[in-house]
Amino acid sequence: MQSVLIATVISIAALFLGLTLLIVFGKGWREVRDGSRRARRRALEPLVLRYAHGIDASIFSALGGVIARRDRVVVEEILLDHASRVRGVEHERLCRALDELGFVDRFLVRLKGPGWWRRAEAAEKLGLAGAKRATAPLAQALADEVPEVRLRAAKALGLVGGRAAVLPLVNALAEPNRWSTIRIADILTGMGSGVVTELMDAYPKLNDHAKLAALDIFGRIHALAAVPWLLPRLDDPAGNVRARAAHALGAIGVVDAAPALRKALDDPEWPVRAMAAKALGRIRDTGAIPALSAALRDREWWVRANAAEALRLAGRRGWMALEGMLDDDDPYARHQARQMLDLVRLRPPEKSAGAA
Amino acid sequence: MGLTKTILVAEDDPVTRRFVVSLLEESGYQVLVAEDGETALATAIHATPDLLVSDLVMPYRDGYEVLRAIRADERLKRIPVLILSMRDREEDIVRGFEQGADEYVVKPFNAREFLARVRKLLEPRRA
Amino acid sequence: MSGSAIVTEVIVAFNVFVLFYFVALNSTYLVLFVISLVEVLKFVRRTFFSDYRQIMQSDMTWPISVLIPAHDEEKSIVETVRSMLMINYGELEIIVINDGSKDKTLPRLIDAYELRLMDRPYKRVIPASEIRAIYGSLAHPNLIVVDKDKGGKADALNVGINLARYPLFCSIDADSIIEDNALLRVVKPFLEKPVETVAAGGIVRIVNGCEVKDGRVTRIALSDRALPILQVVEYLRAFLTGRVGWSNIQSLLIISGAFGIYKKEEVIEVGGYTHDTDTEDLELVVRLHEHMRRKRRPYRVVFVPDPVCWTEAPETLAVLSRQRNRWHRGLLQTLWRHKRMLFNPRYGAVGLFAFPYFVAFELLGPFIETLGYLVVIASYLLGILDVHFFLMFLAVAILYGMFLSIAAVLLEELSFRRYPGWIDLTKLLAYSVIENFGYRQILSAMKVKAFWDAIRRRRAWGQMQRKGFQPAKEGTLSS
Repeated sequence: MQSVLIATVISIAALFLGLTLLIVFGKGWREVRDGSRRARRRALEPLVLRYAHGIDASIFSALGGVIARRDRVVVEEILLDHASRVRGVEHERLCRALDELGFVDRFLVRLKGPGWWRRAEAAEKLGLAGAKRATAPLAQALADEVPEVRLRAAKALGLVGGRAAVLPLVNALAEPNRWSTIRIADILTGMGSGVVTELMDAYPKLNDHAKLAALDIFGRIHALAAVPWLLPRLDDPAGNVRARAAHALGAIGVVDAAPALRKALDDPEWPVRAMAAKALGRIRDTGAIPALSAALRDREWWVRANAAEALRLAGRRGWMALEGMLDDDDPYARHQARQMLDLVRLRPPEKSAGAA
Repeated sequence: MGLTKTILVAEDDPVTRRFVVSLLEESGYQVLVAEDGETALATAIHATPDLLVSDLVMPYRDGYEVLRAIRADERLKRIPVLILSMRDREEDIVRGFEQGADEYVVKPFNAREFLARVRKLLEPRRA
Repeated sequence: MSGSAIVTEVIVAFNVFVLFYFVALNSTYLVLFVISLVEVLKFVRRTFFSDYRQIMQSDMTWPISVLIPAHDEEKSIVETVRSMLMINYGELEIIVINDGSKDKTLPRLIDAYELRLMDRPYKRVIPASEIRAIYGSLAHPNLIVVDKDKGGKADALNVGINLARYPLFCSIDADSIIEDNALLRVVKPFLEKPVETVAAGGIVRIVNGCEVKDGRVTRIALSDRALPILQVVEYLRAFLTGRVGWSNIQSLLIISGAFGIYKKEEVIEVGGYTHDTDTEDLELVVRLHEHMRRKRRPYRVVFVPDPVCWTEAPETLAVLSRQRNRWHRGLLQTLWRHKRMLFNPRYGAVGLFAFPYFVAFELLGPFIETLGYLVVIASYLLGILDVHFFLMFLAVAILYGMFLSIAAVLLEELSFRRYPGWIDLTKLLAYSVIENFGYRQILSAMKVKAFWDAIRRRRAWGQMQRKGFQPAKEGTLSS
């Protein structure tokens, strides 16, 4: 008994003291390190900014020659912090500095290395550094086994931009994993109108999920160029494709789509009708007012709600149409019109195109 | 005071703040700094800057509140305001202008464009 | 064998049992700690250049309805609402449910936010009591205030759910302070796995001793008083080493009522909150587990250690004992209500790990602990036990416990480091030692009392029902 007791007490006490010392020394060391890093940052950041603003021609002259090893971590952090917050010439200068100082090379090496968090970090930093030459390695990292690495590689490609980056992302859109579809769609949206052609080309090869995501992307980036391509989608055999296409056309907000959308208000499936109503609201198509008033009698709440909202957005004539529906035969229509008018009266008057 | 224009920068993110301050100072402006909405208002009242560059999301009072307060004050309502914010949705931008902003720059931003807008806002008003 | 010899045998056997109980208890904590350690370190590594900015901007981020049930909160309600309006999030609606306040809660809100009566459609999806009126604000179109008769917190939340527009809702206590980025952080699990995630919770930290200005915490510090600091250490242990671990093995039962976010659809599916337990938040989560497992749907309930909700902790033993009494009663009521999940493999990790843990260490544990301390000390003093055994007991019960308290502080230091000062760190270390000399024992005793209280109330309710009384609403019976 005695030996067991002594062993237990000593081992627990040792662990206890060990942890305490670990905490105390760890904190102490961290404070010293952070303090010195903060001091170096205060000294070096103004110099880096002088280079970024163009006052110093090269990062080396701005920093006074070769950088001490201990300063490399700080300089990397300064460059990445600012590169992530600016665009244009200053961004290019910061990215060039990251390249010239050898940081990009180091990130590329780490991107293939062991340790998933290192790879993820490297991918992220390559994106912030806008390193065009990292496009191919990042595209490969899209197939990494660890999801966090894949996600950061995708985000990095989004930041790096360029056609070579769009293609692998559009292909990734065909991945069955629903989560990455949403994220990839987000990233593609952030890349602007450059993705339109690639998406239209790749569309037939995409799976159902990805097709819907692609349609969403067209809407979110206001892809005017895609409108002629989108209009025929309103006749696609799949209901959810028609609905998303309607939604996208509304988001792009082009008046040419109005006739096709008015037709979609009679679609057999209710999501399509709902999205068509919503789209007509965004386009503010006064020609659709009669059809929208009729849609207030729809069986589905979403359709009625969107139609009412569309009438509200259509300005004075739409409001008059709503008031006209207040004594309609259909109880749903009456209720919906009432609700929308009450909501309208609660808000301050809107300066819409149709109002007097 | 003299001919040097004073710009008040209200921004809670320290990195952006340092960047914008150094950018403006290198361009020859005198820069005052506030880290949150309340300090921004107090500094504006105290120093009457020639321009306010303000973020929207800030502690204590957000950019919209600061904007409303400035537009409501007799001494301050003529100060041009440039909003520098991450919010890039249509409704945010429209709201910014409706509340009285003169310019709206979305982050991440282009430094040269930003300076051009600042310069324009500081020009004397056309007759 | 003589009578006294038998008694001695029994006492010694009991003492040995108590010894093994403490070994089992603390070793379970140890396992949870190790799981939590790995998970927290992974988590800290993950959020490097955080993408919270992007989440806030993204159209894909789900909008949230924030529900704030309020009863007699005139002192803090305006501030709470103001701090909620300033929160960093894309699309938010804030629904304050005035649960029959007798004080100036509603008038103050009407004044501060220019409230007007509005005709918003209200459908009783979950059965709840009648509402008197719905108010909207001209200045803040996303603020809604509902006025209703008193019905208790569960009822108020159900009204809020009925009114909520968005697919996610967040229940928040009226006197808590949510950090700026907390919603962005707590919503992340829903973005990562939108179909599976049904509920997520963040960490609750103690605000006593911190500086609070305009509804936000400006300086984080520990209180000067002993009781709050003891609770800080306890919460660190419970959250960082406890809930992270449970969440990782998919058996998280507790999401704080002060700060939890849920998928509205699933909560409506299980029927909303019920008001026949004292801790409606715990009961809801357990019911979600039961329902989803019974339906064999893949799901997850996640604890995110990052987002913080600051809440005030009791500063006196009297208030503390009322709070713990209510928590423990609620726990017992919930366990009883869902007792079919115990050891039932149909309910997976929840039935096989979490439930047995709670029954063994939370239900029976306080009895064993309290009785154990008394018996062991008495046995030693009476000479039945030898010194070695007694010291072993102390080592296993107290020393082992101290080690785990310090482990929690270590975890905090490795990850979030909310208490940057050296003085606060020293306080934390000191109190993690002190915690085991009295505080935990007192808590155990409170739980024993709570057990008897829970049983008595059931009998009292049963009697009232037999006499034909209407079961009173939640609010009147509880303290």
